[in-house]
Amino acid sequence: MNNCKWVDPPRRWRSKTKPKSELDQSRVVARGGEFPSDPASQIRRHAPVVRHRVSIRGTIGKREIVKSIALEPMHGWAISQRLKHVSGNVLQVSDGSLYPALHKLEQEGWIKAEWAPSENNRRAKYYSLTRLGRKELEKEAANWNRLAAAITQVVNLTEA
Amino acid sequence: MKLKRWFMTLPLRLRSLFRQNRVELELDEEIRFHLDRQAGQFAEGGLDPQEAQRAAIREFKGVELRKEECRDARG
Repeated sequence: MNNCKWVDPPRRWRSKTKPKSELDQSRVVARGGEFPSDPASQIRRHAPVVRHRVSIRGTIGKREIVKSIALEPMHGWAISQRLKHVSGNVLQVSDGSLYPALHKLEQEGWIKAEWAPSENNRRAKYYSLTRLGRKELEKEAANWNRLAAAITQVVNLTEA
Repeated sequence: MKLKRWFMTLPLRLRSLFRQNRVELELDEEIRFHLDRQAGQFAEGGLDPQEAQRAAIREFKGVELRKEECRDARG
């Protein structure tokens, strides 16, 4: 456990608005804040808190978008199809909320866009990852692996 | 790092500032493409073309609102 340290997600991934009460509650429980005797509370000091995910408030997380275009450039409609497919149509978000997220990511330099002919020869705006976006994705995957390792250690402790 | 990113996205910012009309037209075209593809998919599923178009717009949940959000995202 000593080689694990607290890693905060980058500031730009944190929500600017205060989370709603139900989200607050789940976060407190997940971080073990309310149950000091619970072994899960030990995670708090050592593991990163993963806050970037598909928001329950109807917006799409950066991570899902960035991951879907990691392999090949895609246009918005194809990204929305992939998100639906990957989530097994569980993701009940409107297609429209994808575009503001894409424009924001482009503005932040994570992805770049260019116009190219699509499958039906009509031109479409294709998004692909920039070097910065790829780096951030790798960083985020490393954070996730650290969290998973910390949880495994805690579970093994409680089982022992 | 922050400065580097600022320089990386500078052409995009300048484009939004000085070529506003073009950026707007591209936003329209991008969203129209999405709606047409989605309507095509609904039509393949058995809806008549007009109903498919309406369903695609419904699923998008507010075309003008989303455009406004895109403008906000560009800053």
